Amino acid sequence: MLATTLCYGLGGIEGVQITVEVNLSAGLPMFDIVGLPDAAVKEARERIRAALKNRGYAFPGDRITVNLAPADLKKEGPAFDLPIAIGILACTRKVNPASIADTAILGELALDGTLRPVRGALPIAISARGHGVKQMILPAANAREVSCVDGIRLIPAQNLDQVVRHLSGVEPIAPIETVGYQALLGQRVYAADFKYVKGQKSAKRALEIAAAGGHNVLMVGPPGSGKTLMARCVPSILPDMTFDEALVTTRIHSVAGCAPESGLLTERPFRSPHHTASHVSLVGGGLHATPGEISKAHNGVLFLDELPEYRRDVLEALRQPMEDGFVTITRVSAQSTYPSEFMLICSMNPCPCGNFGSKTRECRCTPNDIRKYLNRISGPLLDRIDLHIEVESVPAERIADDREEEPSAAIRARVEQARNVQRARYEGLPLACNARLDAQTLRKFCPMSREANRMLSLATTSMGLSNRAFTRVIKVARTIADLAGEDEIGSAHIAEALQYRSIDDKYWK
Amino acid sequence: MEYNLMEQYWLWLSAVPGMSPRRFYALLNACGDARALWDDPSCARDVVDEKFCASLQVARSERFFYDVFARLEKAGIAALPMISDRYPARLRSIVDAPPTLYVRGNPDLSDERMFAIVGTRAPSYDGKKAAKEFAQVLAQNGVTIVSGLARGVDTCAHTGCLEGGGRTVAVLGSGVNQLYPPENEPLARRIIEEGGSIVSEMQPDDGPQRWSFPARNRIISGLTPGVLVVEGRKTSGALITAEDALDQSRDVFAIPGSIYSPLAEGPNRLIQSGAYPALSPWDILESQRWGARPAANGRRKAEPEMSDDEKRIYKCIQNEPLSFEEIANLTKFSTPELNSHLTMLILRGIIVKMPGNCYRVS
Repeated sequence: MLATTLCYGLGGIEGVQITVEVNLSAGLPMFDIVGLPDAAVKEARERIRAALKNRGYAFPGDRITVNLAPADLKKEGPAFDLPIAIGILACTRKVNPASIADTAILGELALDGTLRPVRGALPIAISARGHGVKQMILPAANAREVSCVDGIRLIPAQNLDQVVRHLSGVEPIAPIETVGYQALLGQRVYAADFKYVKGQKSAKRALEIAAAGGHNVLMVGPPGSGKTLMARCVPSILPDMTFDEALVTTRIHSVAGCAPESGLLTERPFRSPHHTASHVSLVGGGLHATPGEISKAHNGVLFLDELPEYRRDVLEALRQPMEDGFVTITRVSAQSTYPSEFMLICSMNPCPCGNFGSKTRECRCTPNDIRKYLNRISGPLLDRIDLHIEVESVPAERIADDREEEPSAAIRARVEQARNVQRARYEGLPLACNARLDAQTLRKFCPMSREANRMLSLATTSMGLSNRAFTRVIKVARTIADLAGEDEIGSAHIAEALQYRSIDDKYWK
Repeated sequence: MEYNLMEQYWLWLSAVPGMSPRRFYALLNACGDARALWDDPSCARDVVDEKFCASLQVARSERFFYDVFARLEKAGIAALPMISDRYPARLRSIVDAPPTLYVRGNPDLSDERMFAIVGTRAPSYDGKKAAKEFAQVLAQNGVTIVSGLARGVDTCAHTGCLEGGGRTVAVLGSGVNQLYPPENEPLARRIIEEGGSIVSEMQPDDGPQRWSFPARNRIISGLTPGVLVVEGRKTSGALITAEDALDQSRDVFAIPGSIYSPLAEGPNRLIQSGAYPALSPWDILESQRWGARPAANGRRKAEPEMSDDEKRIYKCIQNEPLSFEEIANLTKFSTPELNSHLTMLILRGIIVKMPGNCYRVS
C-alpha cells in the first residue's frame, strides 16, 4: 500500500519541495527511512511510533519503507515527522489519501503527538505558494511567522489529532488570517530613537546623510561619547522596508532560526557581532552553510563596535560581500547564496587609550602606539566607508537637561524624501542609492556648479585629497544635495561633504 | 677621517667596553695619557674596578684597536676626540665634557651661532607652533639649532630649522647608528642631507639607556651659548637641560604660558627664577647680538577677509579652540550651514581642525 505526501526542506533561503513516499508491505515488521536522511530525520521513526501510539492510532506491524525524494538531496531536521506520520496514516486509511493532494505538511512531533515549530517556515511557505501548492499544514507555533503570506491556505495545527480531523473534514481548522504589511508597520516600536541622544549635532547630521545615501560610516570618538547609542538609532531613521525587502530579510532570519515572534521583520535589522566574532559567524558557513551576520543584516545595519579589535582576516572577508551585495558559501553538504546588502557602521577610539584629541583627559599613547592601532584597519576597507565622523564627548550638564531633541521620525521623513529622489533618478539602473555610484555613473549623475568644481579642486590641492577620497566626497555631496532637494551639486554641498573625510588626513597620515 | 697617533690611542680608550666619562678622566689623571694605558694597563688598577680592568685587558689587542677605526670608517662616522682641534671649543669648556663625540653628517660643530631648543615630548598645539616658528626664524638668521631628535618639541625644532633653510644638530641619547624614536628616521636622514649633524657621545652601536637621555642634555646645552625651553612639566627632561645650561653658565630662555597649563609650568618656573622670557625669536637674536628686530611697520596684521557669517564663527574661536557642538550652540547655525562655513574657513587657511572635532584659529 502506498501513500504520498508533500513536504519542504531548505536550500539557502528557498524552500525545496520534497515528496514523502510511504509504502507498507508484508514482511517482517520494520521501519526504514531512505533518501539521504540525517540523524534528526532517522530519529523520526521513534518519535512517530510513540506519537501515533500515544494518540491511540495503531502502529502498523508491516514492513514500512519511507522514501524522501529527490533521493540524492540531503535531508535534515525534524520537519519531516508530521508528513511521514500522515503518510503512514494514509496507508492505513485513517486519513483519506485524496485529502492530502496539493497539501504540503511540515512539523516536528513530540512523543505525545503535539507539534513543535520548525525552522524556515516563512521561506518554505513562500516557495510552496510559488509551486502552486494550495494548502500547507504547519505547527501553530509557526503561525505568526507566516501570517504575512497570502495566496496559500496556511493551516496551523496544535497536534496530530487536529491534523487528522482537519484532513477528514470532521473538524476543519480555520486558515491563518493574513496580516497586511501596512498593519504590521503600524505596530512597530523602535528600541532606540534619536530624541534620546543629547547634543551630537554633527554626528547626527552625518548619520542622516549616511541613511539617506546608504553610505557606510566610521565613527571615531573617545569611550562613552555615545557612538554605540547613535548606531543603534540608525535603523529608526532608515526608510521603511518595502514588502519584498521585508520578506527577503525575514526569510534569512527564518533560515538562521532567529525569526521574530511577530512574523515579518518590519524594522530593519541591526546586527552588532562582538569583536571576537569569527570569519564564519560574520560571513556565514558552518556545517549546513547557514547565513552569517552580514546576511542577517541584509537591508539593515551591521555595526562593528571597536573596529580595530576585530581580527584582520575577518574584516578583509567583508570586502567582497560589501562590493557584491551577496555572498556564496560552499560547504561539503550544501552551497548557498545569501544576499548581504547592509549599511556598515563602525566605531573606534582615536587611540588605544581613547583620549587622543581630548581637551579634558590626557592621552598616554606614543605616536607609535597610535599608528599600530590604526594600521589594523586596511586601506581597502576604509575606501568603502564614505563618511568618517568624529564624535565628541557630551558634557554631563548637557546630558542632564531635558530639552527635546529632534525625534527619529522627523529625520526619517527627510531621509525617505531623499531616497525617493534617488529612486526616481536611478530608475531602471542597478543602483539602489548614491553609495553605489561608481566612477562612470558618478560623472553622469553628479553635475556640479562651477563654484563647486572650483572648491573641489582647491580642496584637492590644499587638503591633499586622494583620488578615492575625491570620489567619496562627490558621492556624499550628491546625497547632501538630494537632502536639500537640489539637482545640481553646489559649493555648500561640497563644503559640507569635505567635513566628513577629515579623518584620513589627521589620523591616517 | 685621519687621526694622529695620540688621537688614535684616545679613540681606542673611548671605545673600551664599559667606559664612561668619569672613568675616562680618572684614568687619564692616574696614568697621564691614553698611550700610557695601552703600554701599561696595570696603572689603571688603582682607579677602576676589576671588571673594567679585565675589559681593558681584553681590549688591549691590535685587532680591537684597528677594529675601532674600521667600524667608524665603514659607517661613515667621524669621531671627535677632545684633544683634537675639530672638537667644538664651547663644549670642551664644560666640566664633564664627553671625551669623544661621534658624528654622522657634517663633523664641524664649531658654528659661531648655535642655539638649543628643548621641551616636552607631548607638546600642545601652541608648543609645536612656537618650537617651529622660533627654530625657523633663528635659522633664517644663520643660527644652527641644536636639539635632541626626540618626539614633540625636538622634532618641531629640527623641522622648523630645516624649513628656515638652516643647519641643525641632533644630539642623541643612543649611539648614532641606533636612532630613537624610530619614526624620526626620515627626519634624521633629512638633517644629514641638508648639511646637519647627528651627534652622540655613546659608541655608535649602543642602544638607548634610561640614564643616557639626561646625560645627553649637558651636550645640547654645552654645544650652545643658550637654551630655549618651549614647554615642559615640572619634571620634564627639558628642565634638566636648563639646569645643565645654568651650571655651564649658558643663557636660559623660556616661553611663558598660562599659569593653569601644566605644560607651561616648567618654563614659567624658570622665568620666575631668572630665565629670560622669550616672547619672540628676536628676543634671543637681540640678546646674542645676532640680529636686530625688524622695525614694526605700524599697522596691525590685517584680519583676513570674511563674510559676516564667517566672522561670527571666527570671533567664537578667536581666543580658545572650541568643538563643533560648542560653536553650533554659540552661533546658532544649523549643522549643514556650520559645516560648510567651517570648510570654507579651513580651505582659506584661516582656521584649522584639530583631533577631537575641535577648531581653532591658525
